[in-house]
Amino acid sequence: MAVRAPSSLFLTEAVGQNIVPSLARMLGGWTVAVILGVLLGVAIGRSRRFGDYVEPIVHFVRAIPPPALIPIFLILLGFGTEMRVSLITFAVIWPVLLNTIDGVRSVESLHLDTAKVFEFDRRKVFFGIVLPSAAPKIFAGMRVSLSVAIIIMVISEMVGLPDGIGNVILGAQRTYRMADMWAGILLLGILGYVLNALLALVETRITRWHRGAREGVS
Amino acid sequence: MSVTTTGTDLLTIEGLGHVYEGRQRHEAIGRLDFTVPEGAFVSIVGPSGCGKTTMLRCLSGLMKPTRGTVYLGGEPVTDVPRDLALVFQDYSRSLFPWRTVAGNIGFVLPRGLPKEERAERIRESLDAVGLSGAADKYPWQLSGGMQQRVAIARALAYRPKILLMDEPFASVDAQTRAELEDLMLDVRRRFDMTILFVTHDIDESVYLADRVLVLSKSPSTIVTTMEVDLPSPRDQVATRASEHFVQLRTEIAEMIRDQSTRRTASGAGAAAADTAP
Repeated sequence: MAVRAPSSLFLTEAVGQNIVPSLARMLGGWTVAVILGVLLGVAIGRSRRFGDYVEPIVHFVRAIPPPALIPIFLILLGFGTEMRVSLITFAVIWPVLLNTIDGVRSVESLHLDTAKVFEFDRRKVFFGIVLPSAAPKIFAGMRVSLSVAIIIMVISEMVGLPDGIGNVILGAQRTYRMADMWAGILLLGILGYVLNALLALVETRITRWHRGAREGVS
Repeated sequence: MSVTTTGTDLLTIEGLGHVYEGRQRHEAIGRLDFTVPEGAFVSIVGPSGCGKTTMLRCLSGLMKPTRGTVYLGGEPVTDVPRDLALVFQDYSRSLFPWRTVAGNIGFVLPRGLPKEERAERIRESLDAVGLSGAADKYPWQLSGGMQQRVAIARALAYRPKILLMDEPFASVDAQTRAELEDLMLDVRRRFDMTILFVTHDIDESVYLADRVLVLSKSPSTIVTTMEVDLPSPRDQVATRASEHFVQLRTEIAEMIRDQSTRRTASGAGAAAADTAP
């Protein structure tokens, strides 16, 4: 497939060919990472024993720079979307996972005592107390993950099949089309900024109580 | 006497004792034997660090005591019983900051409760603590005293038979404290509730209760049981100024003082102090 001129990025079918697939892969990988990270984080945070077994492994695997694994991912998952989404998920799960563990572990013990006094069942404790308590930290992790997701998206698109914003930037640079290259870079900056702003909006809505409680409005 | 008890004991504590094991072994509770009659307002007063919180945690089933048994309505307490609610001292960490006042109260009601009854119980308990207007506020938007009112309302909506209170007014100012004390007396009349009230404030224990149990320092034992036969309704100014009130509070104060001096003078000798019923 031929590389399209990035000058047509904003207007032509290149939007569908490069921007949408890039965004979809990034958000897909990030979403999977958030779901897995929260589930695993809750399991590790709630069970001392499971945590003792798994945490050292987590800290080792997390220390591996994801781009170093690109060759392995290429061999195992091919050159297309699976490889890219998996690489993004692998790279961005850590902030969510670690923050979830931390958030779940720092649930106020008096809240749990209160739950016992009023005979909450496990479901009510989890959805009513553990998740809301951990939500501010989980969101903080999600935001870090989102910015990492963009980085890994670009890197993953510079290898394998030629599509996506990362590929456009690389192609433009190799053929000395500087304006096109900068256009791609600028686009990435805008995407990162907008996505982060959107997430921050959701975050303030859901964890409004957290800021209020910390500032102690009266 | 102002006690409206029916004579039966709702809460019975037999030979309760607790030791914290570990590197620094600490015997928090020596031996406690006492009963709380149905409908009574019993307060427990003792010096700070006398194992009051440990005792309440054992009574409420949050913690398993090393020795002894607690009976609620004749049944031994193993887990937290349905008929019991506990109001903690630290209201700010006990209320859920991500829920509104009404949300906090509704949260403790059983899931199967019909919508109207749910709303009615929230309304009634908020009304009882004088917070009808604050249903949609968040706890952190309220003052300390108001937050503790929410915690009390939450316990009331749960409809327990007995309400345990762990120094609930220790961290509010004196004015608010007096208001909350009267609120408790009012709530007790209104809901016909049995209340076990733990405090380190001698005046508060006498002002509120029908019976005061005086605890020793840890390992705690009951130094004495005192019936408070002050007339009801009680009044912050008149009751506290009455001769009888002053006499009762002085007696208790002396007892607590003697207890601590005797203890330091003769080691664990005072542990043998009687455990009157």
